[in-house]
Amino acid sequence: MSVTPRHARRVGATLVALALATAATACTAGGAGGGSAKTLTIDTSFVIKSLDPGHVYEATGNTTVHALYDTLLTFHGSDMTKPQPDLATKYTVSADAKTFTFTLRDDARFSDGTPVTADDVVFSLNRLRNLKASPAVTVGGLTASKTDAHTVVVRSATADPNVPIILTQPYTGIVNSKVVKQKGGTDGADAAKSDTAQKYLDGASAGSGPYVLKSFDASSQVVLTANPKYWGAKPTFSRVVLRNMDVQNQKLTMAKTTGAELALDLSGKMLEGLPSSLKQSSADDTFYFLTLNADPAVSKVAANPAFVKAVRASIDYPGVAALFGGGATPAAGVVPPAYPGALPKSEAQHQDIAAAKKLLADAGLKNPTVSLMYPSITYRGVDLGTIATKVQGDAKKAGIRLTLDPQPLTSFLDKQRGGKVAMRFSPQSLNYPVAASLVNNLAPGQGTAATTGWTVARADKRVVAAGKKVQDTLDPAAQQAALQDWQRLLNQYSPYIPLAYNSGVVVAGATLTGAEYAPAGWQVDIAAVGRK
Amino acid sequence: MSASVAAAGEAPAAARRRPRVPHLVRFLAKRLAVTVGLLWGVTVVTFALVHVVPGDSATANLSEQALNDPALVAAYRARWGLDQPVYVQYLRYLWNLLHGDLGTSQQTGKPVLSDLAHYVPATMELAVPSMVLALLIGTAVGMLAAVRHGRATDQVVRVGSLLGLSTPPFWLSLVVLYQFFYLLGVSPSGGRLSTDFSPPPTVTGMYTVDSALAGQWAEWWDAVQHLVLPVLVLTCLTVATLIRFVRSAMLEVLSTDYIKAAHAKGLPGFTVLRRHLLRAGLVPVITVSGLAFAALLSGTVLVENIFGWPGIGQYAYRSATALDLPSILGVSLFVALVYTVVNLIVDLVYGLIDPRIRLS
Amino acid sequence: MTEQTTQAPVPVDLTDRRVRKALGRRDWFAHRPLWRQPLTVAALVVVAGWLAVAALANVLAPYDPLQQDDATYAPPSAAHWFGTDELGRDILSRLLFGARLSIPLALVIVVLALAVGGVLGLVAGYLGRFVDEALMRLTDLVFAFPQIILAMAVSAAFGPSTRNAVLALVIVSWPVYARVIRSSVLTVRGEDYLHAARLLGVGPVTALRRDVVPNSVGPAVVLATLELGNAVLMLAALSFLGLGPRPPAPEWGAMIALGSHDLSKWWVSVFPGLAILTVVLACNVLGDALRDRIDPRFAKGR
Repeated sequence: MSVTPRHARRVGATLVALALATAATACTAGGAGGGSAKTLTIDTSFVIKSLDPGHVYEATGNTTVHALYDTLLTFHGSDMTKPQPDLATKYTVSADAKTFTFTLRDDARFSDGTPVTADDVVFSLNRLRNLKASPAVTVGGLTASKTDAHTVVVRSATADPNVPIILTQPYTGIVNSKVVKQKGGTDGADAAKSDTAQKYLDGASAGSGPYVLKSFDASSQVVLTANPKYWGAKPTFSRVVLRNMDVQNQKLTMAKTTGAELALDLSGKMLEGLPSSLKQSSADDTFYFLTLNADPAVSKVAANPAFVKAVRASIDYPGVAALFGGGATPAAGVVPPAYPGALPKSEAQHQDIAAAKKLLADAGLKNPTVSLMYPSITYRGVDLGTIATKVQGDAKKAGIRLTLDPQPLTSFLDKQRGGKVAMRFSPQSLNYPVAASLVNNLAPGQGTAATTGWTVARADKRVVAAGKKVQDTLDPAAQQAALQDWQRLLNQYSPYIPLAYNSGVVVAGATLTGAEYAPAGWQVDIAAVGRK
Repeated sequence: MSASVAAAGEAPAAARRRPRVPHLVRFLAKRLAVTVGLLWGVTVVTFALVHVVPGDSATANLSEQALNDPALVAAYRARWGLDQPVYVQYLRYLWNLLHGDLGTSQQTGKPVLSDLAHYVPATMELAVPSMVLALLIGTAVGMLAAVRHGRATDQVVRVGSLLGLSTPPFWLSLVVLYQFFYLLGVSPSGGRLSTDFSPPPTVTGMYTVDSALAGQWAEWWDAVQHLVLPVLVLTCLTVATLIRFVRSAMLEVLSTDYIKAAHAKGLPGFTVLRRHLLRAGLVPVITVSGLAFAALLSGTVLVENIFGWPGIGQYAYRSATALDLPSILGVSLFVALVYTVVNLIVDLVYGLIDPRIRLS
Repeated sequence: MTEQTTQAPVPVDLTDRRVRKALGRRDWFAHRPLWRQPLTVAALVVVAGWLAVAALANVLAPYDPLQQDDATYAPPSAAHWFGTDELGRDILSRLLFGARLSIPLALVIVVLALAVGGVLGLVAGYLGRFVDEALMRLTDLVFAFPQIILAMAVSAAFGPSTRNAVLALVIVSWPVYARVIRSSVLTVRGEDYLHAARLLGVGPVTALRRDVVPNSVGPAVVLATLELGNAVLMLAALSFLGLGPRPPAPEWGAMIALGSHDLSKWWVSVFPGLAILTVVLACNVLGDALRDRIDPRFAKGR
């Protein structure tokens, strides 16, 4: 598929994260609660591959890297309204939304004591782009350059008011350029082939964040200790252990915990029956959707718009949402409610079996049968097979026969890329906390759409136009309105059927403070966690 | 197994007439050849299997953006040698293997050899105590059942050992976790060490041993507590086979003439037990322990996953799901090597301990 | 090195450790008549019971095993004896219908493995020499892999489905049969009557059919019964890992996997586990009893 730089920048691809996240299916556990005064224990089902900011892409990696590396800007707690200063004390945006000027603070130091300079920022951002690893999709069009020792200019190839938000993301963390270069790192154009610093950065950190990396074992635990040279406020806990633990054991452990411990993957039904003394913080930031192939050569049935509409009408949306548990809600559109631009709850889809049957009858479809592929994993504590089974049961009521086709994650991704899958089910979250990032992934001919035969030629012109309008609108409020219009059209004319939104949840021990769920990629700001 | 095949293939009488040492050397040489052949077979099978898998390791390991850049995909394939025909990849792997290089794991980015060095001790920390416990309990209970042949004790042992053989290990793991961790709260839920503790300085890689060596007794106690549940499950898995074996072997010995003679001579039961039965009982234990150990290693895959134990079982599982060929090969080779070496040792010890072989 | 066990006329060559482990040895209560073996009778009843359940699942089950309901995660009650799962499906009904999957599939696995292993074992044992050596090496190769990893790899390679799970389990389990059959062939190969038959010009196929095969039936039946339980276990393990029959099929291992997501809803995983346990236990007890009965060595009352 053809990907322009602008498009490439925005291809939201949770599934690559999933690909790298096969650990999510592995059952894991941990020891009994960490109760000491100094150690904070974070239980999570590991989705981690690398702790190099240039490569980090998965949930656990993002949480960790956010504690190890400072970014130019950041968000505090769960407030996603406006990026806050971090290494940059302030920034300005040009009128055309193409040039962004950041002023760096002068007291920030790396963990080895060397000051953070504009050179480090330029090196880190350019290296990220040129590594072309998973996180680079969002920064493909960005170029960083230095004006003076404390001023960095980031230029975007296309107008994009959301660049400051991108620069909050853990992968844009600023590394100590001297150390990383010494360990084989480069920000040159050929970094994708010649950079060899990842190995070093998976064993030690080279950042200015509140913590430094003590040890990293992708299968069992990551240990962080407080950075003695940290320029900001000292975190409460001097030692943090992220422990690989399967969801069911997180539930058992949190039900028992007395100490400084929090869990990141408990959601939905798993939250029921937990002691009420535990603290929960959540935000609906993920959506789950069905995708039908629009290419009649792949499946005549799936490509039939009447069939798509019939499936859409057959789903018991509140029932699906209930499977994700209390925090989840039926989907109204593709933008999760955690982000501006989501459709209001009142527009949630609803089941209408009679209408579904009528649609099928009018289209002359009798007992249509389609295979539904999904990755056989547990994502955020929910077994995707369970959801698929529910969808199968609902569709059956309308006379639609879905046969379930669970695939190991790698096979799922392979087949998905092949574009020959009639119907699939998968979760999707945003690459960075801006809802407009979904447009280029889902718009006809792009990212996800390309893998499901939804070309511009096969798409309704109104959908194409509405998508373009979202991209061309620079004013945030206007863009949100455009996003809503776009979603309403998607619900009518696209081969996507959003089912439900699910929330990320942080469950924390009763004595902890500041353990807020951040729908910004890093889930929780480890350094902000304190105790009463 | 191999030794018995060798024995069956040769004329026993002729073999017996040869001087002892050359026989042993010949035996060892033959076993070595068999082992090498076996390991080679393992590489062939694993290679073939992984190449049948529809998944592409580039999809699993590269980003969306990189996958859309043919140059990067080509570079990735070149880096891992995936651009070559399968047979070239295979020959290259063999060549490196002969030089002690097992390749680099695509998922951890570390040499497979160092991954194995990291994960194997964790598994051994589970497997060794389980095996020792199973051997002790298996021998004792098996002998007891044999001595009480046909009585109530025997019945109970029979049902108990069959229960052990019939319980799904993954289910048992869940049940003990629920019972001892969730309901009773007397045991940790999994992992090797509480997060309050740092792993002891690495000597053997086994936390219980290392912490004892370092004199860190709090860590030692914590590590022991983490061992209890998974070892319990693995012991249940293994002990049943051993009990059944010891029992039947003891019954055979009990019915032999020399034991009957010993009893007839009026030797006290305990003396007979000590002098003759114990030694005779050891033979079948040793015979089957090699196989039991292999079964134990197999059992660790599911058990380690449920208990969050970072050993080779979990490593194998993750490698298999990520289609990480070098790691899968590494684990397979390791297990095959353990399998053959353990069985070789078993055969050698067997020869030393069996009185009938010594007499000949 | 292990020639000491060749002392008596043995139905199988017990010098092969694999064979000995597979068959186990020595009677428990063989000398008693069946009606005086309460355990065997109980096992027979259990097996018969499960077979009846498999046959009559649609009559016995109070609900449709696939019927979803709003009453999710209902604990055991009068309406749902074993409770309901996360989709509100009745666990008792799923359990009963699960017998329709596990038991026939285990039988298929055993029969196929017996067929493959039996033929190879016969051929290897009868022809001996190179063929025998090659077969033994091949079985060694399969044994050298951890069974569950090999099965995982095979069924992952061909995609998760009932057929592929069965295929994977046949691939990992045929060698035991091959070993046992081969051993029993070896013991008759040297016998005088076979020698005589050969001198009389009886062809190898005829000899195999007339003298060798009948000799192998006993051990094969015993092994198959013992392995039946094992097949149920392995199938459940594969399903537990998501590599068995596809959802929403009520497979016991898959049911345990779903229950394992939330252990505080213990009924979801405990009952399928007990189902597996009873089936496998009954098979093992029967296998034991059968072995004691069939094994002529023990029939002589030693």
